Amino acid sequence: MTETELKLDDIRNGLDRPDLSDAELVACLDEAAARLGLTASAEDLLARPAADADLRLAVSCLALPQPQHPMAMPEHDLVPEKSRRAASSFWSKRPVLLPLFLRKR
Amino acid sequence: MSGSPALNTVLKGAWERMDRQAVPVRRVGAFLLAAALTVGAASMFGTVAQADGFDWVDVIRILLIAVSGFWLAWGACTALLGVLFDPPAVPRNEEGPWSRTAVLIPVYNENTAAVFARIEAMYRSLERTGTLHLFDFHVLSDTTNPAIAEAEGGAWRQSLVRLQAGGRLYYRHREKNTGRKAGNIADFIRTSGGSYEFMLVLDADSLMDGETIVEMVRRMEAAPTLGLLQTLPQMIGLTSLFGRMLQFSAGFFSPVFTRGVAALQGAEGPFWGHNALIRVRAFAQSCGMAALEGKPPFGGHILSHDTVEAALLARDGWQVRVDPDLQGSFEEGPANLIDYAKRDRRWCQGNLQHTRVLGAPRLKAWSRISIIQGLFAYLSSPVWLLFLIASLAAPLFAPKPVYFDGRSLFPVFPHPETTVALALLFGVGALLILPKAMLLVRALLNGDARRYGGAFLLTVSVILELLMTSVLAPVHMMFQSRSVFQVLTGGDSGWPAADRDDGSLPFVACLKATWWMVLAGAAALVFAFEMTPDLFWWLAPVSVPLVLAPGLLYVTALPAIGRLSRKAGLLLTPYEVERVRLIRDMRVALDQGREAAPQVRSAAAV
Repeated sequence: MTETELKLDDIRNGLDRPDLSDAELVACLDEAAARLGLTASAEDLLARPAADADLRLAVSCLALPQPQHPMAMPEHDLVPEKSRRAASSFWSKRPVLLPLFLRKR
Repeated sequence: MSGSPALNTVLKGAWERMDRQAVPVRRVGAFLLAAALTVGAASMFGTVAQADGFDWVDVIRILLIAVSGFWLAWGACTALLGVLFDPPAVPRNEEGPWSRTAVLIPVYNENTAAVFARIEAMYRSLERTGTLHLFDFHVLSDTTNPAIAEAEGGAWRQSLVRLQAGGRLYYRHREKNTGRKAGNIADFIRTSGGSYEFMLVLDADSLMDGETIVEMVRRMEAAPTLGLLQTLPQMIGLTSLFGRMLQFSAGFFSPVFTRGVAALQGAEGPFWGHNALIRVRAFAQSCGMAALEGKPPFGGHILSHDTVEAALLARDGWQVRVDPDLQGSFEEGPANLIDYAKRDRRWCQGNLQHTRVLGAPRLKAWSRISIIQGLFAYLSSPVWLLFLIASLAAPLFAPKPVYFDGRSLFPVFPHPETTVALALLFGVGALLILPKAMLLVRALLNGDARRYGGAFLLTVSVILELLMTSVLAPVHMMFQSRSVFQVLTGGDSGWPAADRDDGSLPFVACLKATWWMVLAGAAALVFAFEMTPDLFWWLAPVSVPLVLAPGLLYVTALPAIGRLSRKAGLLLTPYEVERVRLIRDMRVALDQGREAAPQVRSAAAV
């Protein structure tokens, strides 16, 4: 592992974001450095010691994407078939009380 | 609340036993009391109605008053339980919190500066608890206005710098807001749900204290079957008279009413859609909802998803609980009656849509009752309106009096039942006033009045609130009745634009929103005067506010009148009397955000 890769690993661990790739992290660092008005690029910052103030500032202000840790959320059907049929028949036969131009929705 | 793990085990056992045994007893007791009051009111009204002869209109009127009466009595029983019920201590994790929690802020074309000011205040509040490392904030944007979406992105980046919140504060924008808020939350779970044990679901206008959030996490950690923990949000930040009245009602009456709700609902409690902590796994497993077949208003995505989600959690054996003792939970509210009615229109559609899920398989009986309660919150207005119309019409249909029935040589005159009518009126009045009066007496006795400006000012505030709600009730009834009618017929006549920052309303907007009420109120008065003069004075408390509706809307939305009431010490809430750091921080952050200086570097250095 290179020095840069090790440093990126440290940042990932510090943020508790194992899902972030090196490329994503470097892009976020670049963006943070530009936003903060730092003259250094991500590569420059990563080449500096871990305690470097600018590096720490950039890491503390990273605009990261959301964690990618999906959880399944199955959709439940709430209307049983019988009541679905009854409701649809009721709705189709409901009295039409309003003129068409008033029925916006 | 504090104690050893052993005490926690005892508390947990006691809470579950209490829930299993006492809740059904309370439910049956409240039902019997409400039913007895309803029967009493209906029979008294029957006596009054048959004074001029009995006909089919009277049958309808008795049925309508029975339905309305039960709804009113049920509310009074809930409030009574709130006064009598002392919630038991709940278990909490004394050593925690340990769980990772996502704070979710769904936004949809909101005031960006205000949203991020609230986030900043909550972030700093959590920072002070020393547990910030367990919390991530997620702004889940469904914003459709490109300019606002861009502003949100900018505000997020500024907040990241100001708070140095990299990896703690996230922003995500959905291009298509499928499923609205429920879809927004579901999208979060399907993307990042696995990273968190709990999620604190907020609204864009929610504000919660760090201590409260941590306390909620501790309580949830101590109760592995607890799926959802709801707080009672208090309203803040309103300056108009109407807004301050809402604020006062929410602050003074709602906590006790919520205790009543907790006493009745137990582990099948409510979910109000925000300011609630949810176990992510439970929610993901139970609360995914397919869109309903057909078109809106009854088909499509479920609008008022919260009630259904609470029912689905309970269906799968998860506890849903509201803890009325949790403080430090806030929200903002509508500043005027038009905004209130607009919000109510959405909720009305959502609640009427619930008729489709009433028959959903395996729902607990109490969940179905809760859904019916939600329906009646809206149906009660048209029921009252129909009752009034039927009462106006009744004398026209009444059979002619028979003075000589053949059994006596002397004429038999109809017996006026004014005394019974007055007794019924006082009874209904008592049901409305008594719970509020009980709370006032309680606050005066236990010293709580201090938090509302003292005994005298609190008493005047309660009377003022009672007068205002009574005067505005007919207007509210008409708005709700129209909403129900519109939902049932698929119509929507729209709303006048009334988007002023301070919540005030132009008089023209008030007139546009209520001209039909003015006509209806005037027509009812003229009709009563000409056709049924006996009813004129009985009808006046309803018809006169309708005739005055535009003026009432205009005056109650004026911030100047609101400020005057504040200056006079009326309608005060504890959050105006006591200085709350969270609210102060939010206001400071809002001022800083408004300045929106792009000096991000210097802000970061600070």
